[in-house]
Amino acid sequence: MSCAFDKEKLTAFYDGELDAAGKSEVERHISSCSECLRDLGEIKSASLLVRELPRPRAPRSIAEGVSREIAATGRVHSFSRKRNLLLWATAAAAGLFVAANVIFLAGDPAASPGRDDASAIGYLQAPAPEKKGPGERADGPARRPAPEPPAEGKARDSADLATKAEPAKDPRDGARQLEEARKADALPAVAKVEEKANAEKAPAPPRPEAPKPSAPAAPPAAATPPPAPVAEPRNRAESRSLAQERGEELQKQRAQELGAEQAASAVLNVRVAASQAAKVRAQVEEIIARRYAPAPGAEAGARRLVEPEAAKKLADVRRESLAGPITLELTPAQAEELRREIEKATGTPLVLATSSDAFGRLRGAAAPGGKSGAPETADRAAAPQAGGFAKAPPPAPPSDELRRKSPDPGAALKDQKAATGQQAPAQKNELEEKEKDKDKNAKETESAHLRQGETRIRIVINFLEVPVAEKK
Amino acid sequence: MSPPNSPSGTVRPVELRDLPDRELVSRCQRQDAQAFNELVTRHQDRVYGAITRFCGNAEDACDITQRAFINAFRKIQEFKGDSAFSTWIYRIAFNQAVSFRRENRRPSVSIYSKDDELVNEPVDDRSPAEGMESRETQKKVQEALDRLEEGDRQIIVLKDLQGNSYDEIASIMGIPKGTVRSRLHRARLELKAKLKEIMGTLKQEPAS
Repeated sequence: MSCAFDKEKLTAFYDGELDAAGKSEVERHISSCSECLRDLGEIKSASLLVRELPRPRAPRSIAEGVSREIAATGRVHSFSRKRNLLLWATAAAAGLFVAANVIFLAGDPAASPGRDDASAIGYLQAPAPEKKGPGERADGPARRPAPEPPAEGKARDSADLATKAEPAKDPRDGARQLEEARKADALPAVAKVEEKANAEKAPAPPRPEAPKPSAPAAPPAAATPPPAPVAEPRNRAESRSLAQERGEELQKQRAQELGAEQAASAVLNVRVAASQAAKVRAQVEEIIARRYAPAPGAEAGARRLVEPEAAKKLADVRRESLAGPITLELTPAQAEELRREIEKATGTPLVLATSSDAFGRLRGAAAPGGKSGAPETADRAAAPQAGGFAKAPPPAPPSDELRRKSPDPGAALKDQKAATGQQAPAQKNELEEKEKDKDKNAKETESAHLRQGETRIRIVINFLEVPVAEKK
Repeated sequence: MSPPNSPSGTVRPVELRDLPDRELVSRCQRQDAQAFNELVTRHQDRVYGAITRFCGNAEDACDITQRAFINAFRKIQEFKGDSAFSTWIYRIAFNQAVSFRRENRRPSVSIYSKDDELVNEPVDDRSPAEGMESRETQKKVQEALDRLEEGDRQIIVLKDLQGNSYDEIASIMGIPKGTVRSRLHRARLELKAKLKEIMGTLKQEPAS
């Protein structure tokens, strides 16, 4: 044990892990060192003892167990992949569901009241070109192709849909918004808002029935203008935005439900003080019953559209309203006659407010009469213009037409002044000539449309409460 | 690798046993279980033999070897091919054995007391009579191995039983090559001492 030689080299030498120099060094050393030679022999002996140990064969159970485990692991991997796929599919389905809901809610104005006011305005604009600039407004409707005449049942369908419409959250909002929207926007659009809102709150009106009218043989008089909305008090104008929003919301909902059928209806707004509501309502119902009471064996000339149950429900919601609307299906001639009757009985100037094509039919039906004692108002001025029809009689007197086609508030104010005899003669003549041109264009472009008396439109008679100041 | 052609000119499919370890590993990494089964068949005897000597217990060695191959299959994607598959599976197997023994601290039962048939079942043509003529000698050698520390026993098994090179041992044990030499030397000295304790004397082999 006195040898200081690196014994590890002996191990490496035995294992053949030394390079040539190291191997030579060990060989030289062990040739002269008996101790290291003996150690090397012992290392070799110990190694050989281990090396000579028998190597047991692996039992089959090892390979079989591994094979089973691998198969199970493979299944686990396969299941894991399937699970991942399932998770991804579930996530994708959930995403689609959410997206579909978002799209659905985004498309549902009732569910998202604040959404896309522009689209609602667009809807309002569609039948009411008055939304355009004042310069374009007069020309727009006259040059636009005439809309298709609605089918016989369209008006009834519209009324049915209107009865299904969602009621306003606040009954006061509905009435107020209509008033405000009337001031702010075009008449046809407002008329639709009113039409919808009133259809919602409509109670079961008396069932007015009348003999089938012979509208073509009895040309009605021209439509008369409603009261001037420009006379609204300022405190009402302050809530204009709210009313507009609500009105647009209703319009959007209405647009979805009714689509193109929107044109087949008209609104007759009867503005009365609250104290006179019952009286006026009774008068109107009496007129309807008298004029449209069905003759024995004859077909009803007017049909009640609002179902009693739906009307009752809506009336409950809008119980604060003055009175529920009366909805009728009339020919344009009948509508005009009814308007004049109510106007005469109530002493309130009335106008049949409707969308462009319905107004066109009304106008076509009413034009032969051409005269209306009702004063001109901004409502009337804001009414959409559809022009005349090919089969329509000659147009109404220029002054009446002129006032009826004045679309913007400024023109409405002028019309109002003209109705009270304050309009300047020169200005009046200028507007008359302009209106003549428009009528001419309208006749040329809308010649293929409704023949008066053949198609009925829905007439909604609203009883709107007005403040005392306005009434005055 | 193109399939070899048969003498008749027809192409016979490549058999897994014809493929090298690296190709089999590549197939395993593509979830080819049959390729891994071939690797198991190819290496199980050597791994089992080493673990059997390392543990001194055939039953534990069977479990450890099986777990080692299963773990290897689970981790096959982590095998980068920097070393031979045999080196890698040895490392896994010895780590598994160390963990197993720590988890199951029980007296080691010698393979000679339970599975004598395994001891007498050589896997090569060498005659036990060349180094160890009797089973008693084998038992004493195994007992000496069992008395070694795990590291010494492992390196003895890897070098003297399995015949691995220093580089392979360094890779398996994760130690430098120089450390392998020193530790192997120390382990052999320990083994020699244990053998002397057990056997009384150690037969002196000629150095050359």
